[in-house]
Amino acid sequence: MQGKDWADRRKALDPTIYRAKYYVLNIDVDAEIGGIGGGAKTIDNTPFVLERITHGISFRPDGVNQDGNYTLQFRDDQSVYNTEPALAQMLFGGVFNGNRVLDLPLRMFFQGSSTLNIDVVNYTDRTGGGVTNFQLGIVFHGFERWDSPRQ
Amino acid sequence: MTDLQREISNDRRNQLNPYVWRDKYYNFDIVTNTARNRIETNSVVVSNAPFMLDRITYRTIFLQDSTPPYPYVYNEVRFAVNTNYLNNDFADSRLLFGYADNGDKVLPLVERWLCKPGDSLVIEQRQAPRSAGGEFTFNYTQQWVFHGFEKWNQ
Repeated sequence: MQGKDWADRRKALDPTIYRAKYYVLNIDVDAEIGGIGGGAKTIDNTPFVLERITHGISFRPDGVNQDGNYTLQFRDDQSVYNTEPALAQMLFGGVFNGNRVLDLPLRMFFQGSSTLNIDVVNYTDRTGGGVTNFQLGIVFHGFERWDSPRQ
Repeated sequence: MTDLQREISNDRRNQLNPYVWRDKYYNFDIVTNTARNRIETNSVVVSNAPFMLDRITYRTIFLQDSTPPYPYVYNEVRFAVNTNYLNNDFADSRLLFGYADNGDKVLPLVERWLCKPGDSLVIEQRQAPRSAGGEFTFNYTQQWVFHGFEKWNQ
């Protein structure tokens, strides 16, 4: 179902007008249970259409497993998009443990220069080996209009 | 390839007229090592036909003996067509494109990208700030493949 819908959505756009675009956000999160982290990404001054979010622990220190035991809350300047934070892999799927990336049910449109915010809560004690924090990578996948084919 | 991906793939293929578009891929290798922040770039030029980029896959080849399990290789990449798209940030390549190690974790680009003849497909690959194998630096080759369609009936 998701695949068919996805393909349908891709069909609808002219590749001479829309191109893939992504934005990256790296967040430092405390390694202790309940540790928090947060970050914000301001997009370019071009409208951006968000299609999917991927996430994973980057540059993980020794002893930090790619277990997905952290929650994400996602919002922009105006709106909160998940009122009750849930485990990130339940919201968006996981890249590291399989191909079960979940596209957003509907694309989100953002005006240029909008700010996308992510709040993270760590649910597992990762302090073994003297680790105090770890870095979580977030990628906002989408597309932008380039108006006309490049000359 | 999973059933889901096969469905997506078939669906996308079916919408293209085979008398106009045919499968096409470009590829190159990036030879590098795991030293922190090491940067390597490579590119390939689109031949004399429009190319519609659909997905990017990559795979690591270890050149130097390394005791299994192999240390993790943390790549941050950014991707460009010509040079007008290099304003993206670096990110873990698995988050950007999925991971092609087992052939079933590939993320298609959200939208296809139409490239003109003469465009360069560029990968700038930077090793993560953290060393992959502790303080042990080893060489490896990263193979990149750009999958898509070529317009052959012009």
